[in-house]
Amino acid sequence: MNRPSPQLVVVVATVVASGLVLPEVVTPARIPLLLVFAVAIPGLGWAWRLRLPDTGDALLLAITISVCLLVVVGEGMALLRVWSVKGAFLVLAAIAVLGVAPLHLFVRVAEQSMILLRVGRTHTDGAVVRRDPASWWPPVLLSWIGVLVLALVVREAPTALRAPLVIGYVLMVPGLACVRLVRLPNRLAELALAVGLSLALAVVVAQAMIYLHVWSPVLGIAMLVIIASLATCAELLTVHWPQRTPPDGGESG
Amino acid sequence: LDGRASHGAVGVRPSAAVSTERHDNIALEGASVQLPLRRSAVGSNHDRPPSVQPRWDNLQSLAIVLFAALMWIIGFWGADPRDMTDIGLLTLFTLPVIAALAVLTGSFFIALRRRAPEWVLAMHVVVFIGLIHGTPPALFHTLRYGWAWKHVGIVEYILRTGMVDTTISSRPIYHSWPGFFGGSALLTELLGRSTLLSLAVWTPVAFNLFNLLAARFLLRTLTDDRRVVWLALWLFFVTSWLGLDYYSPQGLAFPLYMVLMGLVLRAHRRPRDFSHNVDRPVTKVMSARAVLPIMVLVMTVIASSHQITPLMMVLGLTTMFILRQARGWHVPVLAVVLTVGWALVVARGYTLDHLNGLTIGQPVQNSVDTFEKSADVRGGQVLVSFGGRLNTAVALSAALVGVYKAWRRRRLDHGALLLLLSPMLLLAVTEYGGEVLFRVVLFASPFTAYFAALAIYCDGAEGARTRLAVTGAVLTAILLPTFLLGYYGKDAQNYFTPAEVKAASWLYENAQPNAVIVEGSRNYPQRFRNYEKLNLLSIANEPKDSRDRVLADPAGRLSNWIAAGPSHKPGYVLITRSQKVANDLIGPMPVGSLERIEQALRASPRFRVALNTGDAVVFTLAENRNQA
Repeated sequence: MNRPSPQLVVVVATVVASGLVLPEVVTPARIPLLLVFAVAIPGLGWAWRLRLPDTGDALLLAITISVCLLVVVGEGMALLRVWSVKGAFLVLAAIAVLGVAPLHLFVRVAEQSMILLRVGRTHTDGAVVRRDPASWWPPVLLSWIGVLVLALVVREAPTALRAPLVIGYVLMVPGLACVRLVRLPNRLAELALAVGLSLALAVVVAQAMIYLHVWSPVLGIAMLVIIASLATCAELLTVHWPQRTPPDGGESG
Repeated sequence: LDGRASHGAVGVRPSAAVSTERHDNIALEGASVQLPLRRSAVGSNHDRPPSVQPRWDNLQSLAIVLFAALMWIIGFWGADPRDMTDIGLLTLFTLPVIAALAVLTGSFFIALRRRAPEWVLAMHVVVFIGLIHGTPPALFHTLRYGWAWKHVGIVEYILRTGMVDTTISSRPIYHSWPGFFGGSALLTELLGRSTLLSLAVWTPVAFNLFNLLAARFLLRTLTDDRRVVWLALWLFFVTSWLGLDYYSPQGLAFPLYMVLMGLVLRAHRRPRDFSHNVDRPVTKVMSARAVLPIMVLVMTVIASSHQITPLMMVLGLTTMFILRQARGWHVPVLAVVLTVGWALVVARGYTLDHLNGLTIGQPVQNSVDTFEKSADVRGGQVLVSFGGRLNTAVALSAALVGVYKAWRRRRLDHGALLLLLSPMLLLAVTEYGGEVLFRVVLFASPFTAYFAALAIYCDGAEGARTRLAVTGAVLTAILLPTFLLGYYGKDAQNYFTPAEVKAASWLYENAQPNAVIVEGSRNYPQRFRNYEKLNLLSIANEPKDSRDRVLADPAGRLSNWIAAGPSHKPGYVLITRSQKVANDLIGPMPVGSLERIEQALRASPRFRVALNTGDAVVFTLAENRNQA
């Protein structure tokens, strides 16, 4: 007998759960359906990717990953003081869907896009290599995302909107802005390093605030936005700055 | 791939098996490694693959298990938890209940003997979990064990405020390691806030099912033989008497610890271990790269949810890697960084304030502290305490026999032995509020069960399998009563009636912030609502001199305590049924002390009854002291 495809299970479960959580439907079916969603679905696709031959092991890892994600998102919101059940649900649903999404295609498209965006087309103007305007976009975009997140936090926007954006920003952007300065050749490594560095920066900022007795989530986000903005400014300056071609006439970038 | 599993057991050389060797390609950390695999190839009837077993046997097992469950339900039908005496839920055991356990045990070992398919063995263990751990919630209808109520209080705080506060003065430890509570709050809010208590009530069942999957995952890294795995799982559940499966961070962190160790054993064992142990299940080897994100996630949750499990994680992993049972230095380093990082960043305030609580280098004293906790028990609780200890002693003895047998046969898994012994390092670090010995037993328990299973495991001819079934059943007959004593024996004090919950709920709703609330003891549904606003004083937890003064003049002393509180906020005294039961069974005051205090307050003109729910009485001062 064929097992139901994990993609189908995850997509159907996510759609059903969305139909219950987002419009705040209260029905007796909500408890069992959302219980199954919360403790099994976000990790199902990721466990399935491991291609374990044993169903029990696959189920265990799906539950383990889901429960751990539930804990991380729950405690993250409580520590950052951005509690929102809808925001948390959106994060979990996104992770669930990403688990069964064809990531290799995304990675390929992202790689191509990033190559275009980051390197851009270069042309030689005498001995000086200049970039096309396309290469301006990523740092500018990252800066504006920071401004947007900071505005949402300061203006206390609805937590359903604020929570996923703040969590996503803290997990990715400050590190990405810094890592881009190094210009790693491997885009996947760049993304992985971006997440790690973002977490590290968040920890350093939090620790600094604790030591200085100035604990404030808004201040923390502001610090991260400043760090990211400084990095993007640095990238803009280095990109825009005319670069001499090497003596052998090779291109930089 | 599982169908290719060897029928030879790890740790036991098949006696009558003719072994053949073949080579399989396995992916180990991205490299293709050729390792020998040994399969027992006995052509006799009893070695048929499980899938071709007659279906009738399996249906028979299913019917027997359902019959056992039915007997259990009939046995408890109409039981009243108020009738429990000093040996807890065991008081309510009837002949059908005992018969149900005997039938279930017998059926499990018969299934094991005839090499039943895995689902049949799993069905026995799942039903065992359902019956043992589902009975208290089904019978009590309220959350069992006082500490579980306190944990509900933290989740209620997060749901009410949307945050944790690491600088809070009341129970900062939970705010500093908020993983379990944050996850519980999010789950509760997803399902609907009214589900918090019902979720908490059924947690032991959920955690034990999680334990079953996690322990199976872990044990399958140690042996390829399904019968050893399920025998070990059975022994694991009949030796898990500690009751640390309640609504708590420990309950979540323990299965995660088992998953982590399983991942490490699957992805980071050195190749030489595989070649030494020819029965190793190579199909279960996982890529270290693929497993790393999951390990980091699990480590993060362990490090942010509990205090002693991260310590155990660091000790276990460091020992494994230092003693070269696994490779990949980054794994223990990650564990140390996450554990220490969390303790010094998020939980910095609590950590620095309590560093002197570590009792490093005092293993004997730390062990003695655990024994001292049960030194004052009375009546049936002495038997309960003895039952738990005997269970652990028998299980450890069997495990030592298993270690010896494996060593004699040159099949000793050093990694498993190390993970059995490494929890003892905890004794050298902390006394953990007098509970460290319990945690040592807990973290060693999957490996204790594994080696105990090896001790009674026999492979080969039908006679040997019959010996295995009989020995297993006899060992269960010794372990099960002691398990039941340990696990159910404290239920007289762990059970709270709805009337007690109602009284505590009323008090927490109506008491003004920081008003003094005097409680007979802490054994009642405590602090589950508005917990940070309460100023609680427990008579049982006062120093002995202070307790004696209260017992000498209850109305006078307690009115003074309340009068010392804020003048404009009326104080209360709460005496409940479960407080009296707990004090009479485990102290510290003489038997009947809380009953005498209640009678004295009822008779005193200084107090009046503010609420009486039958099982709980709330007193307040007859007049406001300013008016007086």
